[in-house]
Amino acid sequence: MILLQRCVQSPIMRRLSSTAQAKNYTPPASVIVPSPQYPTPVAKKHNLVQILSEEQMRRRDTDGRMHLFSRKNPHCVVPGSVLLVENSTSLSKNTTTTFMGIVIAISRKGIDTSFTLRNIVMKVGVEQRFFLYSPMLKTIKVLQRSSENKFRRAKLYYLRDQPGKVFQPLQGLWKQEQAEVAGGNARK
Amino acid sequence: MIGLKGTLNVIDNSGAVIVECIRVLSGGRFARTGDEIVCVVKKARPISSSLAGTQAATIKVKKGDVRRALIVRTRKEMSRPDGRYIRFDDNACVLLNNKKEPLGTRVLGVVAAELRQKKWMKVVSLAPRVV
Repeated sequence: MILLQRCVQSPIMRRLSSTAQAKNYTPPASVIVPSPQYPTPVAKKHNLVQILSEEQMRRRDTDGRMHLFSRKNPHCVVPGSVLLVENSTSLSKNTTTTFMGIVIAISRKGIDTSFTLRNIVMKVGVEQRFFLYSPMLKTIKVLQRSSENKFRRAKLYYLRDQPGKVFQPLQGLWKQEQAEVAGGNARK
Repeated sequence: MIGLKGTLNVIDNSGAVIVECIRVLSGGRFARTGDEIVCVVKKARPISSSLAGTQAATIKVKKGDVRRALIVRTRKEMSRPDGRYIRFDDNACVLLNNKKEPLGTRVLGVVAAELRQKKWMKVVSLAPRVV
């Protein structure tokens, strides 16, 4: 939707725009002020699809999750980090499910960016793949960010056969997280 | 994706340990989580007289029995309606009787949440953990 940027200025607006009052002006309730628009896209050299997907990602990026997985972010999520994901199971009800696990794969494909978490639940390995820009994905919490030298691969599929002691600290992290949440609720 | 000759672990206390699929009841070639299959018990827990009374009483199958089963976990990833994919490290099932009720009295292990969508409420309620 393209808005007209310059509308006919009333005498009041002309007077106000030149003073500091313009900054503090709040329109009356009867006036519908549109929400801030995104910067006007400039399509050059056939990159329209790229622009549209970038805009889609920006619109879905309500809580800064794009920054969490952005390569430009020096503190981004790397394979080997422990994440806690809260997923709403139905849009009508308020039910959510939580899943915690180690990131074993990050697939960056614009709006279809996804990451796979692996955990051992009741002695059975479970892997779940979440799509970053899905509206059902409520919150992503980084419980532990792994150091660069610990996992030297982009995809940690070898953990399916040779887990070592990688999954042992997860139980403790989960309990710590539960305690924090309980403490937060108690304080409220 | 369990088809003919596919082996599954049994995670209830019916007495069977490993079963082999001989027929997929939905009519397709492969069965997914929440589908019913006909299977043969390949390995079962021994019913020896030295066992305690309650333990021996729960064992309902022996090797070679043909039973129906419900798949609760698959190694093949399955997609959820919201786009998530979930994968387990093994294939597992729960034995059923002819009335689609679980044969065992307990389920020991994780089951997939697909069972809820496919209306296997009895199994879901018995399961200690649903992912």
